[in-house]
Amino acid sequence: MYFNEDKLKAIGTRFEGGKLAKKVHKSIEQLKRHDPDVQVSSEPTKFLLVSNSSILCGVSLEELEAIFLPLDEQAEFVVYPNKRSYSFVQCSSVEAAIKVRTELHGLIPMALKGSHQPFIISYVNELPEAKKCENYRPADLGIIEDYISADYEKQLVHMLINHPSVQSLKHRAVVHFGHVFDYSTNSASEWKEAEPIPQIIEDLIDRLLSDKYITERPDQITANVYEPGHGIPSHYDTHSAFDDPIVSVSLLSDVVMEFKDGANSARIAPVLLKARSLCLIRGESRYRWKHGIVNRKYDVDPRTNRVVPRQTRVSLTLRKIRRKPCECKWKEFCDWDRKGSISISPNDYVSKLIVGEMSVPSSEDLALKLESSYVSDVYENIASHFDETRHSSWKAVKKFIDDIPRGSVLYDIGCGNGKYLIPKDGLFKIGCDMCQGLCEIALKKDCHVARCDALSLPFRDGSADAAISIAVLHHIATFERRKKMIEEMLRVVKRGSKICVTVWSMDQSQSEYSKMRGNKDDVGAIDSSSQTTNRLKVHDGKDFEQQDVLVPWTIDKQGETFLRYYHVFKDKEAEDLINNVDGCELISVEKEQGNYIIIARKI
Amino acid sequence: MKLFVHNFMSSRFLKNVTVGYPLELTVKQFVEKDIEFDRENMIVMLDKIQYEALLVAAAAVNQSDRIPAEKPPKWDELSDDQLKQFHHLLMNIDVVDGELICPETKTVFPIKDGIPNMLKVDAEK
Repeated sequence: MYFNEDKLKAIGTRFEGGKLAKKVHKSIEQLKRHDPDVQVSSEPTKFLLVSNSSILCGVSLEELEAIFLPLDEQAEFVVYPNKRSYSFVQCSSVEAAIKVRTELHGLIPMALKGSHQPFIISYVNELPEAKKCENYRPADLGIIEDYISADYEKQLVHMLINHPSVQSLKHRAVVHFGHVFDYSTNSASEWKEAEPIPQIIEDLIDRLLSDKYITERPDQITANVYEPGHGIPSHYDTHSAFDDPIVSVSLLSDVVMEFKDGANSARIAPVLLKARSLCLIRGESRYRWKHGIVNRKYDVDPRTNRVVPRQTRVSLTLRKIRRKPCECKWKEFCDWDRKGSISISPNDYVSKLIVGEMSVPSSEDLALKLESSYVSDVYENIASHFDETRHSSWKAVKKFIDDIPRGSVLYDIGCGNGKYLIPKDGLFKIGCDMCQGLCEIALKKDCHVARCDALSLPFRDGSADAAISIAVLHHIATFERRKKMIEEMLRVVKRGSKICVTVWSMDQSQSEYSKMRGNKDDVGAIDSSSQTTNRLKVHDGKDFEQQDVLVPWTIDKQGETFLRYYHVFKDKEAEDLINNVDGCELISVEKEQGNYIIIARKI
Repeated sequence: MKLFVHNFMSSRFLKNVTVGYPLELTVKQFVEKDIEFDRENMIVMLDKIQYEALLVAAAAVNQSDRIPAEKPPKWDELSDDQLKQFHHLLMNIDVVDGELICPETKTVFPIKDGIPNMLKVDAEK
């Protein structure tokens, strides 16, 4: 946010003179940078550039209307970009524009609720050209505009709105055909027969089949009536409930549907669904991305940034109930119980392979498999990006290293890019890592490294004076293996030596990581199934929902996402682990920014 | 891999291996870089190393003649020139390509591009 408490001015204040001139200059500079096609005019025009007036500054369209409409009742906010601090107003005449500017230029209007920035207004010759879509779309999503005719739309809406069994949901009216979706379970297990599918919808299904958008007849049709201002929370159509694709037809009004990456809900793709268009939510867009519609009375067209008011909208969603296990390749995002408890034949070779695949591992074998796919392989893929992002050191770790006498031998188990190996502090340091890519990076920095498994250290017994292991233990998938790793670290240090081990904490409330993820969804508000399960879950919210999770690593905004396995530690879990290791004495467990820093001694 | 690292490594982590030390070393390629000599540092390091393993390493690069066959009784009685021989072996020589071999099971661990790969799964393939 553009917000500086020291510079906070009361609403109603007006800027003048040099200060105002400075702000005008800044405003025009911004325009030049982002919309170079728009020319500032020295003569009054009916188009106004208004800085500090967008959603980015905490100013809503409703507030703007409350401020501008009393001065020019036909003023229109034609362009209201999501990513800029300004918007554009088209006044009814040049005279009206002069009046608006005279009243508001330099003023922090009284009606502002969130913002304390003055409106900075300049005349411009024209509005910005519609820009080419800068936004990405989720993969596999299909949009077919003008799929149905205005006439068919009319008949369909007439049938739906007058249907005797329209029930009112909160802010929505809904009617089901074929089967009733059971909102209490959100699953396929409890389907009830509903109204038969009307012929007019059967006709649409025939067309979808002959156009090859679907291969099987949908048997669960939901029609929703949305009043302007109403939407639907971000959600997945659960994998286990429906086959692919989810088909949706928009009627009467355009609307912007937001797709959110399931591995990163800050990655949002707004998609315009025009009236009479067909939307095919399939493949990645169906299995990995959530979709929803924000509650508001207008949309901002993602292709033009122009404000589009919403009308009453009717959506028709056609789905096929899933009757066989989901075998999508987005298994990390899948709610299907792949452990085989839902009628999978025990003789089925394929189902045997997927048994327990996405569950928290219960055996050494499964743990190894999991660590190999969701730790080792991932680090090989992200090594160089990981190197670019790992520089700062934890205070408690630095203190531990500073306290080791000069000339001591120190092992760094899981040394990553070598950040603790580099400093010339008079220690003899040898690092090791399982990841070849990271070993190579550390070697290039003249670190001494070997590639190995943290549970099988290639060092002789009692050969080091101290050992550290930073952010490694939480990648080990069972208690027995975590214990083994501590035992192995103790084996290679001398009696009386200390080890320092850090892990992620389940409680991330104090962490930078949490602040960084502050723009993400809170978990639990929407997802009713957010309870601790035996299944690995993709972590997305700010807080960890359960201890065994897959945490996304995204290389850049557009780039691939890799999921890393973590077992995040609960309060007292570190103490419990250390107390279970023979010959190990716990010295301290400190919490630093969402990490536990464990210090123990070999006795 | 510097030869001083070899001095700390062992295959003790392998099943049924009791000591796994010193690891046999074969060197196919090595480079020599001049690392700054620091007398005090060198003496501290020599206190940490196992002499028998250093002899193995020296032989692997055909430079056994640089150091005495028996461990000197006191490191700080050595001259700078003598210490520099140890420094050269331990710090200047970098093994680029070679093998580390478990003395008990003869399991082979490759050294490629200067990085010893001590992964059990790779060695057992």
